[in-house]
Amino acid sequence: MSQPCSTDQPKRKMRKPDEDRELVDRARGGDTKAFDALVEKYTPRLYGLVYHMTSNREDTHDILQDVFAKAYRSLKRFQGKSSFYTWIYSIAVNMSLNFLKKRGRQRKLSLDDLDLAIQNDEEFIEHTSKTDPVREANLNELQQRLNAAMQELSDDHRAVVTMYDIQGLPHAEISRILGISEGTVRSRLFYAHRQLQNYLEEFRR
Amino acid sequence: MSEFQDIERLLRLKRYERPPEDFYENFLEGFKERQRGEMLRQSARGLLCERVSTWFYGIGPRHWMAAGGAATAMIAAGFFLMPGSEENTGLMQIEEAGASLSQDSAEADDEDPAEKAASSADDSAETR
Repeated sequence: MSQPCSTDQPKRKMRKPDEDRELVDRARGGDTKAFDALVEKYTPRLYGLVYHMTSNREDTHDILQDVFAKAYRSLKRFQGKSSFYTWIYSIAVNMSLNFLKKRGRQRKLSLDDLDLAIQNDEEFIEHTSKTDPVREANLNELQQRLNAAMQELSDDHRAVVTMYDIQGLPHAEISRILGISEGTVRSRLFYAHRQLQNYLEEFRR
Repeated sequence: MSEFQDIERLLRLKRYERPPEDFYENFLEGFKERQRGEMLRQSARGLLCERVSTWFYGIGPRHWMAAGGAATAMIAAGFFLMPGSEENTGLMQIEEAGASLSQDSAEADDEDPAEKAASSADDSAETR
């Protein structure tokens, strides 16, 4: 079986480890402002992760609140073996997966607005100029199709697609966060992409 | 080149989905409120623990010994008075034996005097 996910992705880069160490140490010492700075810094990244896994804005807000609250309570147990980002990202992934298990198959999509910057995106321009069905579809329809397709994936597959395709994390970091081998990450991506391909066939060139 | 390159490109478009502008600001404020609330709850619990530990600390060694002795006595009393314990069973057996003896004597007292006389006559005939 071929492994379709190419490893030559120049945009994917590993984060500098321990750049948040000082903030973490201060927060451990009771400096709530230091932790606020971490919340401010990582909310957008974690928002993307949780939102694309749940496809619901309100659920995302609640889960993120729980994630940061749990991180704050567990800060003394954070040993610094991994970066703070990887650590809190793992908390967010696990809490999102637990939430999805509890929610079951009841899907309630509540989508965010698309940033107008999408219209300047090279990939979007490329798609809309070359693909007839996409040209006819408006942005919201495309968004809904993508989200509906994502919701058809299993929770584990959606998590991997979110991290790799949307958030741009490398395989190695995904494997560390999920505690699975890189081979499993690639395998899940392969099956998820194949499934998505069926749902989004008309958008392909 | 990946055979799923197009899918990957489409998925990357999802990066353009953004929450409302004030989301992040409100989120941080909401988190601070929640954090403060948790800290207050924690401090109330901490205060209770502190008061209880201070109260225990204020009790002198004599009081501790007296309290320990009283507790031991209570446990011992509870053990002996507990229904179903061996001692109790023995007492109950004695009580039951006493009850059966008195019942026998009562039954003997209730015997007809004519029967008594007949039985004593039988006894004397046998001895002869």
